[in-house]
Amino acid sequence: GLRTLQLGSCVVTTDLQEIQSVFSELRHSVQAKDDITDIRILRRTESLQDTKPKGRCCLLRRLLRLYMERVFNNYPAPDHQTLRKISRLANSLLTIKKDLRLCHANKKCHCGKEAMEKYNQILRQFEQLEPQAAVVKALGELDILLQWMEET
Amino acid sequence: VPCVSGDLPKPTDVTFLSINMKNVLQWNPPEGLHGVDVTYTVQYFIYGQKKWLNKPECRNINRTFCDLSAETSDYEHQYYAKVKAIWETNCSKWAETGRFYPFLETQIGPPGVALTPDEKSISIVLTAPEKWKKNPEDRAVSMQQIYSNLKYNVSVYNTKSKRMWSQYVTNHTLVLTWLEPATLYCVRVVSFVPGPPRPAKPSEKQCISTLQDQTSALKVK
Repeated sequence: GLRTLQLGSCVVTTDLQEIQSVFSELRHSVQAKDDITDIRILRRTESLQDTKPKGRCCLLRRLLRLYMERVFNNYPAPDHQTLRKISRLANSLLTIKKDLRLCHANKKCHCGKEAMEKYNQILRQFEQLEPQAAVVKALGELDILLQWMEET
Repeated sequence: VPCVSGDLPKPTDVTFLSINMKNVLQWNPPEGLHGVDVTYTVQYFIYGQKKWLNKPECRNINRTFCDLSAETSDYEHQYYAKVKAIWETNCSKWAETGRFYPFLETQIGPPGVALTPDEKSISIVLTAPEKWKKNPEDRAVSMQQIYSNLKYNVSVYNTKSKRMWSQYVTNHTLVLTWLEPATLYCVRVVSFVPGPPRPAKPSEKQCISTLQDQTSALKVK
């Protein structure tokens, strides 16, 4: 089922349900590898919902770039099947990222102070962890990011 | 009196059973200790926070479940829970759940279903299930308010022709048309939310007969 993401003046259509379904097949095994339970990278105070609409596109675009460049590529997939599912997730989110780049090109994806502060806070949470632990935790929190997108 | 940890086997199959945000932790007794007078103690944890928290009502209990609905009612948070077995001065290590995300995992219970027959049609009115509430007198919150994309799968069975069909609906009223008069039809409805698959419990089967066709009734006179 296609879903429209309202990100301020940037509107993107995507099959969020399919992405959620693919991630739900990975979720428990990925989260079981994250034993740092007292740190959460994607916190509600930095959520898309907690960001003014005009900053949501920028925040999501930055987050997807973080996942593309530092999470999906570095996740230690234990088997080929997991690797295939992760690349399906990456490709689906890459499509969304390309749509957000179009919004950026059309001046609909402005990075204001609020959005950048929230992104930098998330980045601090991510970078305070040892790299491998950060990658595992971030992938385990994809259900949170997808939920933020669902609720826009 | 602190117990000696690790001498007992752990409880098994520790999971949350969640329906309409009623989140109950359940488990099986440790292997090999059936019939032994074992008690259990439960703790829970909010992902991203610092401490395991006690649930006083689930300390040294005999039953193998613990209702953590109130403690896990902020469904935007994610949780862990754990339980250990205690017998005399011995206790097991903790047995822990995976990360529990009520918003994604809770089962959406069946809706209320009201049927009104006519000669060749049946009107169906659905009432969305209610979210768990702490006190009976609390204001009811419909699961529709939490899941705006809540849908229903209505299955209909013609007991005469033995034919079954189903259809998806998003609003709460539906009229089944082109039915046969004076025929018993049975209806079952399942609620669902598009997204990751969730277990679903259908409504009780309800059967009702369409009315006698008045035109044929007049001819008979």
